[in-house]
Amino acid sequence: MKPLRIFIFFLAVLLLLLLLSLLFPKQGIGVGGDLRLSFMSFSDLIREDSSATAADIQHLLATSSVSDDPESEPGKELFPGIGEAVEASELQVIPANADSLIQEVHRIQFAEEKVSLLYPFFRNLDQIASGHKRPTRILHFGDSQIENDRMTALIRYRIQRNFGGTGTGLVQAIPLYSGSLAYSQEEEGRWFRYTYFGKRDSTIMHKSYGIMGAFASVPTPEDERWPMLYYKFNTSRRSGQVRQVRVFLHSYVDGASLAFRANDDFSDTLRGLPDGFSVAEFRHFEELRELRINFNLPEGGRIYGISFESEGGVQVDNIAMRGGSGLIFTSMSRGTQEAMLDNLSPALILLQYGGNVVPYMSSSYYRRAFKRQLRFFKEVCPGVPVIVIGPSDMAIREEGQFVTYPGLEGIRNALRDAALESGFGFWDLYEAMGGHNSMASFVQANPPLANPDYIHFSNLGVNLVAEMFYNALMLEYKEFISQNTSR
Amino acid sequence: MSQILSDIFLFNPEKPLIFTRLFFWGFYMVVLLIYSGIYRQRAARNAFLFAASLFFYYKTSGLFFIILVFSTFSDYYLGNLIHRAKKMGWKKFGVIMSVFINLFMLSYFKYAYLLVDTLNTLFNIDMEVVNHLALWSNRIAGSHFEVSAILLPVGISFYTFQTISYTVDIYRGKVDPVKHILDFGFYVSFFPQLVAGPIVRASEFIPQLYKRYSLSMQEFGFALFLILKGLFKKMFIGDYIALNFVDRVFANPTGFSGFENLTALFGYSLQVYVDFSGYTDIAIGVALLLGFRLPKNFNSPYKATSVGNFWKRWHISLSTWLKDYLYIPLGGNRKGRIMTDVNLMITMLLGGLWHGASWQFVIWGGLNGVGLVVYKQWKRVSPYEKSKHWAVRFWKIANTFVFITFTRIWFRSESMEKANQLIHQVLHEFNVRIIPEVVWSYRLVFGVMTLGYFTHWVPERWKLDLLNAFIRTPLWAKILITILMVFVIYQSWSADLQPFIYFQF
Repeated sequence: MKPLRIFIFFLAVLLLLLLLSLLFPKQGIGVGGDLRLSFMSFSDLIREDSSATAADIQHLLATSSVSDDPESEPGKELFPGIGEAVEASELQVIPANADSLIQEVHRIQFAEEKVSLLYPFFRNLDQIASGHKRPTRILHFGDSQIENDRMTALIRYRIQRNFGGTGTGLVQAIPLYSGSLAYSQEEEGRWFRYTYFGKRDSTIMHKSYGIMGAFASVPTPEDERWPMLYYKFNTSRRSGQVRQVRVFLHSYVDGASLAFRANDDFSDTLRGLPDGFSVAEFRHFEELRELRINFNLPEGGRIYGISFESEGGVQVDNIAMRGGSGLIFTSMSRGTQEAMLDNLSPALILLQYGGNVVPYMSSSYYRRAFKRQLRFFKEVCPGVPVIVIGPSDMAIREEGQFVTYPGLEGIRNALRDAALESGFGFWDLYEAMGGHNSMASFVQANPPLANPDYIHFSNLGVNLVAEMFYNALMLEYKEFISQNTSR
Repeated sequence: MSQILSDIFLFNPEKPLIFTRLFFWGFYMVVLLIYSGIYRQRAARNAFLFAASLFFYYKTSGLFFIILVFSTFSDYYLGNLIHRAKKMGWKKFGVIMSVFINLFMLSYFKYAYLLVDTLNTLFNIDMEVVNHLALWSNRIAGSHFEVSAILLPVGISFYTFQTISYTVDIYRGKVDPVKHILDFGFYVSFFPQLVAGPIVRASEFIPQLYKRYSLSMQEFGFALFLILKGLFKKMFIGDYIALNFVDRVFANPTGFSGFENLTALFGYSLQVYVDFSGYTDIAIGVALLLGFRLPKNFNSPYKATSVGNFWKRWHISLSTWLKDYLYIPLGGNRKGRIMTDVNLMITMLLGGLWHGASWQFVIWGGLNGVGLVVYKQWKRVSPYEKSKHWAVRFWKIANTFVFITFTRIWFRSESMEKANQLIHQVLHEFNVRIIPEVVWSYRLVFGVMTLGYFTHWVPERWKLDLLNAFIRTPLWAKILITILMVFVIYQSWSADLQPFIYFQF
């Protein structure tokens, strides 16, 4: 067969494909269920590159200083020395050109009359920076985008480094992830984890899941062996430096005991814990390298969370709810949540949701439902500011192109409206990362800033956006300081 | 207009010229059209295909084509030196220079980061990679190459091995030097196999440079079948399961249950096979339509009955290259049992390193080496070694497949941390209760995986029957089948993304 005939063969194939692309219905042909046959249009034939419509994110990469590890020292910080910057003289270390910073920072949005929303929190920061021991707490709730301490870890590290504080804050007794960089964990006994978010276990009749929306059931002691949780802390990391532990638990009978054994040389047993909710606290005079907690709950019980903390400084809790849309707070038992929040006494609450409702829920319904959650926080934590962080960009594939989900901007708007109408703040993650089709750019960046599911950030990507949020928060703080010092 | 011309003729790293892009087939048709005018004139044919290959390489790798040209010149002249030298010393000098230059280039571009990272870790220092070639070029020629990064030229692992085989074969007297440098350039850079093999031996390919073009109708049918099969394997199966499942799990193993991690591992075992063998199928088909025969590179590797047998079926051109140019020169099996095992291990460890510049690849190579050595001992004592019973054969195939898949953990994981995470998830987060839910939710992905494995494991006779039936079809039917295949592949390429599904485990 001569090359010319082969060429003609390919030409015939090409011409017939062109003809097919002209004749095939643009909307495709349904073949049952969700399946649909489709074929490229003539314009698609010419424009075959899937990255053609991706957003430009070069400016984000150029201004960032993050790496894979949230606790790595940044090459540059937008507001260096901010925690030490209470003294007016030290404010000089902040770069002088505020206008250029404001352009770089994607700002938090507030309802018009509420620019001072964050001031109570900033006053707490000020007090810590001035040497007060009283701790301050940020609760960071979110969906799978913040799982495994993602996003929170960088915010925590930067804030703790600048204002003081160590430790990871709240963790689940039986975590979904076992990849914490701050500690490793082992268990003894038949522990189970139950969650209110995601698929619920129908055998659990009550709704008392605590503020993390999850609890671990404490096994009853067997053969005089108390169920045990063992932690080995990575003290080279700030998040692994712990001196104080709080266990939020619920015993089914009076007289429960918890035994803490620290660094294999110091023990403390808390006896006579009451029936129902209680908080067991343990403090140690030196940093914990290892910790064993033995649980003697004669009829069993629940652990709503364990908090690893320092004595002072800022605690930042990562409360991830896989598959969650942030609508469960009002339907879970209020008492346990209130009791936990009372004890934790947060100074700022971050709610980062939206991604899981994008394909499934109308934006008007979501706005109303989310406002109910915000009202809940207003009632149980009066005066505590809330910042709602909107969903990140998410991509679907349309004719081979990765494009933003059609309903995503509607859900973003719903969250923004709910937050601002409730008098809270809103940070637009979607716009911060580049807006329309930016997820495709995040996935295709080298190294990748997002995973190939076109939904979740990679470690590098999540640190990049976490730094952007941190910068937005610190810009507000900087302006708060400027106002205070100029008075 | 200038944008269109720029798209056609200039290098764009985001749009490399690869077989799965429509632009490649446009390029190929232009090559065929010109080729049909000159294919009878041997010198013009070779020179044209050399030029087309350089353009292909430029479109794939940009200015790295200069390295390819340098490799062509150096090995062409060293080959001549080896052949003409009367004294053994000069012959040895020539072959050592050739091996040194090729391995130096490969090491410089491929292993600089691994070396620097390893030294930094071992000695707790903070060295950084500096591209001295770029620095030198910037100083001498005033260019503006990036000096803080060394990029890997596409295909360098393949063409350096190919040129080493050329000079070594001349040294061994197995092949005469190529008569003209353009012919040699054509051999080194022939575009169908330039980027991902097969690694073509000089002794197999060079005689074809001096033969007249010939292609029977049966061969045309065979070539077209290979191209369509390759595109189907790569795009319909490989790309679909990678995008919708495998890549997601390997990017974040701890986000997925043990069962998902395990199935993603088996999915990857299929994906790496269909990707690589599919690409090679297309390469062999594309080359054959131009009248050049490339060697078979895969032979149903997951039907292997032992690790040794696997390496006779997987990336055959590499394993035979490693045998002839590394294992045998090391001493092969001629120096006793222990040295044979040592030589095997060295070959497999270096073979692992050839696949990628990280210690994960060394572990992968090492595990395969251990597999080979253990099997050599086992077959001495196994009572079933010579059994033809189907159950024994099934057991051997299953064992080999699972072992090879197990080694893929290190082949695929971006870091040791990710590899450890995957193992942890499989061992500690394997919740049997969620399996039906996972399978149902990923039914399309698992369906495509099942199709991939089924087509791999069906008897060879069935595959041959299908091939022969295709070859026998008239041209018009081949056109229709080609269009149908493109249509089917498009369905996979344009399919909606598998939605992300959360499982509590």
